[in-house]
Amino acid sequence: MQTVRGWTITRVDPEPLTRSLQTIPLWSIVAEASASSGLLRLSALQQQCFSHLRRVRRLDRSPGTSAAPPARPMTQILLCQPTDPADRAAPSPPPPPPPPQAVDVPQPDPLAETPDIVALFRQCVRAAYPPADDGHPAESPAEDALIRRHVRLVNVPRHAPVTLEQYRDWTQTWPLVFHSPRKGLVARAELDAHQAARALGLLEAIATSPDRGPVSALPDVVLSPDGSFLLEDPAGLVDLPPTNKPPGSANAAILVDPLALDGTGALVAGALDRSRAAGPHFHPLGHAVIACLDAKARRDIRLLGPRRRALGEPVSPSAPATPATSATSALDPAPAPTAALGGLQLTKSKAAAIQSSHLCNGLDLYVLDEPCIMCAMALAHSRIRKIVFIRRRPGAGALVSHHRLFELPRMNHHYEVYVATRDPPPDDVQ
Amino acid sequence: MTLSFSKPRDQDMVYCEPFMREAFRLAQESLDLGEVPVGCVLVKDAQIVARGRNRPSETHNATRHAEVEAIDQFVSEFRAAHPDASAANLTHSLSECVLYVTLEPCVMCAGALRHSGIQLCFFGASNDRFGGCGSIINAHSYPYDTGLPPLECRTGYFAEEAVSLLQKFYLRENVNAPVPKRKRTAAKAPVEGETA
Repeated sequence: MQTVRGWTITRVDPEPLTRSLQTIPLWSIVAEASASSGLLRLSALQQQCFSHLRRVRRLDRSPGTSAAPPARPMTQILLCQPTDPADRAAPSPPPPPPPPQAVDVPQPDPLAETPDIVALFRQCVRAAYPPADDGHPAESPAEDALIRRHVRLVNVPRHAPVTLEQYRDWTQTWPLVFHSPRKGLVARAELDAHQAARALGLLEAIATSPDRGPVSALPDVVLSPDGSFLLEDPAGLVDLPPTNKPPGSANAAILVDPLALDGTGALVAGALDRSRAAGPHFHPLGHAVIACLDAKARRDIRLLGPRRRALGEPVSPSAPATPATSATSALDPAPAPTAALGGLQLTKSKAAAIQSSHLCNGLDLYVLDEPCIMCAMALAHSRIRKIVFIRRRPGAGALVSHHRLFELPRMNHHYEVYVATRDPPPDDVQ
Repeated sequence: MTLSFSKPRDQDMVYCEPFMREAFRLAQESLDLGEVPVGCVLVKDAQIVARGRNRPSETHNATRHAEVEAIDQFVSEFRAAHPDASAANLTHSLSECVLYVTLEPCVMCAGALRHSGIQLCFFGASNDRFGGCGSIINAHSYPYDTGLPPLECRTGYFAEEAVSLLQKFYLRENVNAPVPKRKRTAAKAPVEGETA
């Protein structure tokens, strides 16, 4: 949480960062360490769901006995997930009372499991405790006793740890694998709070003034009648005098290049909401975020022309296109937009700079209202870096109110989400 | 909520076919231009009233999916035909359309369809990466608190064709994407010559 010039900006932590330990029970077998490699081959644990668990745990002492460490080291190996008792087909006869053991999980009878799993247990027990020549035959009461004695449920962490603290804490329960968390889960670059406060001030000013006064004076700004605007040369963010009136109900969004102009940040494009506009500017999909992304795309087209390439064109996969050459090839087949540039000389460095920024890579979006599901996914498609919004929308917001779209693990791009609140001015406190 | 996926029904299949054929023709057009091959049509009173195909690369805009293109075309043609129509008229007219699309609408497009009021959608293959109609999120039926009508989805129409079109695309290289971190496997290269 950062507070700068009346704005308090809080990052919305993805749920995996803040969650505490949750466990699930898994079947395991206790065996001598020398048998563990054979047992690992039999383990039927799904790799996708449990890749954060080590398969084997070394035991200092054999559970069930409080005696001194055994002569030979013992290990515990994860085998499979238990079946939900409700799912089991045939109710099994009441199990005999299990032998008293000092275990942390209430132990159900392993032989009451489904036939597939019991077969796995038998295989494991035979591998770990091979019968002597005149010993117990297969499926004998002796084997059942071995299963009841050595196969047990153990509680293991359900989720992969994503912070070092979680890893240190949870690995006490069961040994874990710790990978550095995926992109977007942990903030890579801290949000510049001063820059954010300037951008939020600008956003409010744009939303409150219908003639877009704060931007219409900027050089190189291209205003559209529908309320969107774009800048051919990104303009620096300046401190605006605080607006005393609160922004109206209409939504507005601006795109900011946070690293432009030596890190002070620059305005790239912006738009007002059109989905509630009356008259010719109404568009059912004209939400401020979508209109803002459109304005950014129009800017790229003005500067570069549309990308169009027939598939027959040979592409050398060994040599990735350098920014300069791909910029030229993008300009080639597009006569109309080049003419529309109106004499604007496109320098090679500028073209390279735009070409290197695929879509909205590295850009931040500031928006008054929490994005809906359409806008939130549009921002993910556009590879936005961070989103800062002011007003939560409990009805339709898709970031903190519903879905929490930014932390879905299956998404191909993850952005960071911040909520900004305006601290009440001192006058209102009294 | 009575919405759910349903198996393709024979009577739907016959009725769908010309519209899905047109959607596939648009998808092929996208493929020929180096875009992810997805196409769709909006149908009203058994007439195609708008067409859309995927154009994100061409427009530098990741939101220009086929569904959004088709809705945009509908809106601009409606405005040209009825310059004095109110926003409510436009929304009402749009909500009477049925969408036929080759691939399950993504999360964004499912949201866009909800916002535009469209209530019935036929699609080919489901989309495990981005699908917003059951694959990733149930955006088509989620009870948002804003009075948006739910979207009924019927799936499985010409799914094999949709998948094979996508496979054709993904065996090629997206020249407009940033340089990938993972290397492509060389085994997939020969297909390039077949379709070029």
